[in-house]
Amino acid sequence: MNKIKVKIYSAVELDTEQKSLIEKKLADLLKGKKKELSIKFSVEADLIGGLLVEIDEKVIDLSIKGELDKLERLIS
Amino acid sequence: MEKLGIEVSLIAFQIVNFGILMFVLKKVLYKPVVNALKAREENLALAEKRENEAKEKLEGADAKAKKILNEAEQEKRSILDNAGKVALAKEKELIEKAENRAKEIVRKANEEVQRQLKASEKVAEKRAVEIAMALTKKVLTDALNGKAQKDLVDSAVKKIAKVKA
Repeated sequence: MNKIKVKIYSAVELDTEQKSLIEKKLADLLKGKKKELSIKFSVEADLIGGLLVEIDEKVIDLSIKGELDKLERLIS
Repeated sequence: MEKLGIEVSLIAFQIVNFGILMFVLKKVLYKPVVNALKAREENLALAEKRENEAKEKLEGADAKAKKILNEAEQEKRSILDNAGKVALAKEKELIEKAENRAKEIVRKANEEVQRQLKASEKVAEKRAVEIAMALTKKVLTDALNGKAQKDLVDSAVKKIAKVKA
């Protein structure tokens, strides 16, 4: 059974409750894949706030930095 | 007659001598002189005729020269007039070309100025956005405390569920 590698980046260190909730949400999200999840949490202060999720090659940017970058591209 | 000392025979002899002299003179001297005079007269007439002919030729040549000079003068004026017209046309053409060239240079210069202005505006705009973004990030980084960070993470977690796997 292949593993799905998931990396979670946050601006500040997440507490246990937040990590558990994230693991649960990701398990629900990927339950159709029937693969084991390998989740790694990292702190990335440049994100300012929110999360950045990498699932294999897919990136889900839910950070303040990501929103600001979108805004910058929009007005440039 | 004899009493007067005049000898008739002598007179007759003298008359005969005179006649002979006249005959001889007429034959020997008169004709050549007359011929010489006639020849001289003819020469004079010929010279006069040639002089008149020369005069006529000279007058003809003079008239011809005047005519040629007049024609040359007219031709000169015509050439000068034409040259003047050609020069004016050329001058007008050159001025027109120079004006068009100047207009083209000004137009290109204006276009270049506008292009540079737009480029400068673009750079300034980009720079302003970069500064605004940097300030916003700095302000948000400083402003987001623990509670706000937790709310942001919670919000992000809710969004994860909505993402299509």
